[in-house]
Amino acid sequence: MASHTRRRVLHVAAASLGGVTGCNGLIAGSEQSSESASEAGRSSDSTADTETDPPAVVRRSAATNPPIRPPDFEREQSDSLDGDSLSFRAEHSVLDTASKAAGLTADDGAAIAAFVSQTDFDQETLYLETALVEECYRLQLCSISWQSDKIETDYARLLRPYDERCTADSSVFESRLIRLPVPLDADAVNAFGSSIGRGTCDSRVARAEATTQGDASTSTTTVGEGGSRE
Amino acid sequence: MREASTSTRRGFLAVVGASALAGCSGFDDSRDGSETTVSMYHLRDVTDDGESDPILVESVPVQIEQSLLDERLRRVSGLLQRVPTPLDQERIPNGVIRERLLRAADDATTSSQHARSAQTQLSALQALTRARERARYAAAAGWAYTAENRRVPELQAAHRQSVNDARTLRSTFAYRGDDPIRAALVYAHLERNLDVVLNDPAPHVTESSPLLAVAEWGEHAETARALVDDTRYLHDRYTATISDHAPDVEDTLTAAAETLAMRLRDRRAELPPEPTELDDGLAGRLRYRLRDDAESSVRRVTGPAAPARAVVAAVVTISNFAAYDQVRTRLEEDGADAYRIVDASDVRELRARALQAIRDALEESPRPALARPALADAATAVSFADESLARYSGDVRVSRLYDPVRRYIAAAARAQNLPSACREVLETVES
Repeated sequence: MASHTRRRVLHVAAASLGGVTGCNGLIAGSEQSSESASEAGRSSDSTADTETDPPAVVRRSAATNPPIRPPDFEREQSDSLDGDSLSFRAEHSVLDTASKAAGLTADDGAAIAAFVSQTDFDQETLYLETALVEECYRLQLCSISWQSDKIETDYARLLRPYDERCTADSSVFESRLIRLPVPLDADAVNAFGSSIGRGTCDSRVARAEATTQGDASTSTTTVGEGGSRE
Repeated sequence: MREASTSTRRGFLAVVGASALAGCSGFDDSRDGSETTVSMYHLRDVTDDGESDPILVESVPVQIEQSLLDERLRRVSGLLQRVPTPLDQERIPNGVIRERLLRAADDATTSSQHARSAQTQLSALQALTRARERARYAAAAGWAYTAENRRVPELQAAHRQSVNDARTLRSTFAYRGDDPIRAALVYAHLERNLDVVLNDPAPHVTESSPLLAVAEWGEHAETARALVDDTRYLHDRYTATISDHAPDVEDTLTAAAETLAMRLRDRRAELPPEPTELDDGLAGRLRYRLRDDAESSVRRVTGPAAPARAVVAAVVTISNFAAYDQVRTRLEEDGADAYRIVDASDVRELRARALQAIRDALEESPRPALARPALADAATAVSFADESLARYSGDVRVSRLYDPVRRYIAAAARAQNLPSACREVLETVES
C-alpha cells in the first residue's frame, strides 16, 4: 500500500506534471484582492512532510507590487538594479519567528496580521510564495512539501469563470502565506521548487493514481488525460 | 450568417488576426557571419499570404452530390447561428474564454470558405466536417451559456450514440466491388472514418472551465456524428454504383494486405542500422527522417484489421522505403554535395522538383487513384515546408532551412517512387 498513499501519489503528480513553471513564472489577479483562507482543520499530521490543504491566506493583485510582501521588500526593491523585477526573496520567503513575520506588509494588513498572530512559531512556520499568473487564471495549491532545507509547491492553473472580467494577455500577482505545521529554521531552507500543471488538483491526483497503479502492473503506462468531467 | 460585428466573418478575422500577429515575429537573429545565409526576399513568392494549399488533395471514387455539401453547409450556418452574439466582453468577460470561442467560430467560417474552393468533393466534405466541429465548439458553449452548464451529459450521450452507430455501420461493411482497387480506395476511407469515431479518446478538457468543457464535448460529439454521417453516405453511394453481382473482395484485400505486410516487415528488418555518429546537417537529417518514416510506416500496413486501409497504405510505405534507398544511395555516391544549399535558387529548385515529381507521378502511375493518397501526403508536406519558409524574412542561416528543404527532397523522392510502388501493390492484389 505504501506506494499508493496520497503522499506518494502527489509526488508522482508533481513529477509527472511539473516543469510548466517556466511558462508562467511563479507570480498574477483581480482588481480586488481575493482571499481563500482555509483555517479549518486539515489533514495535519505534524510529522508529515506534505500538506495538501494547509492553512493559508491568498491575495491577488494587478498592482506593480505583490499583494503580500516579505520584510524589507521595499528596501530590497529600491536597491535592485532593476526596480521592476521581483527579487527571489519576494517570491519565496520563510518566516520562522513572530518578529520576522511582523515585517510582512500587505494591501490588507489586518487580515494578514491576524493570520500571523494565530501562528505558534514554536510549532509552526510561515511560508510566503508569490507567483505571476495570467489574469484569466488562478492557481490552486495542490500540495506543499518540505524538508529541513527545502520547500516545494505544486499548483494547478485553473481558468476563471467566463463571467469574471479579465484580459487574455495580462498577468497579476498571486501571493500565498502558508502555515506549515513544523518549526523550520529559515536560514537552513535554501532550496525552493514549484510546478504548475493544468487540470484541477483532484484530476491530477486521479491521473497520478492511475499512473501509479499502472506502474504496478506495467512499465509502459504513460500519464493520460483522463481528467474530471462535470 | 449574422450581421453583428463580432460574429461576422470579418469580425472574427479582425479579432483573431490581431492575436495571430502578436505571436508572429518575422525577424531573424541568426547573422553571426559564420555560415552561409539565404535571402528570403528571393523566396517571397513561395507563399503570398503565409498559407500554402497543397497542389493535390485526397479524393474518393464516389460521386458526392452537391446537395449533400449544401446540406452540410447549412448545418454549419445553423450552428454558428447559435453562437452567443455579440461575442464581446459584456457577454463573455473572461478574455481567454472569449478568444477560444472567437477562434472556433473563425475556424468554422474559414473551413467553410475552404470547402467552397476545394479541389475535390471529398476535400470539400472534409472541410465542412471540420467547420461543423469548430462551429459546434462555439455553439455548445452558447448552449452552456444559456443553460447553466448542464449540457455535458447530454453531449456525452450523443457521442455514445454515434459510437454505437459507427460500430453497427462497421459491421455492415460487405467489401463488395467489381473492381478491388476501387473498393479498397472507398473502404479505406470508410475504415479510417470509423476508426476515428471508435478510437478517439474523450476530449482533453485540460482547462477547468465548465463552459469550455461543454464546448470540447460539443466538438467531440459533432466530430463523431459528422464522420458517421459521411461514412454512411459514402457507403450508400458506393454500393449503389456497383453491380448486383459484384463479388466479395474482402478475402482478396485481406490476402494482399497480409502479403504486403509480410514483405514490408522483411524490408524493415533489412534496413541498414542508423548511423551512430551525430550528423545534424541536411544529409544527416534527411537520412534519419527517411529511414524513420520507412520504418514507422510499416505499422500502417500491419495494424488492426482494416484490409482496405492496409492495401492503400502499402503504397505509401513502399515508396517510403524506395525514397530512403534512393537518397541514401545518392548520399553515398556524392556525399554531402548531393543536396547542398548555397542560395535561394537551390531551395526554389528543390521545391520545383518536388512539385513536378508529384504531378508526374499522378500521370505515370498505373492507377492514379491508388497513388493519390500518397501524393496528397507528399503535397501536404510541400505546403508545410512552404509555410515554414514564409515565417522567415531577411537573410537566414542556411541551417535554419534544413527542415523545409528536407521536406522538399523527401516529397520528391517519394513521388518519384510512387508509380513503381503502385505497380507492386496492384500486382499483389491481382495475383
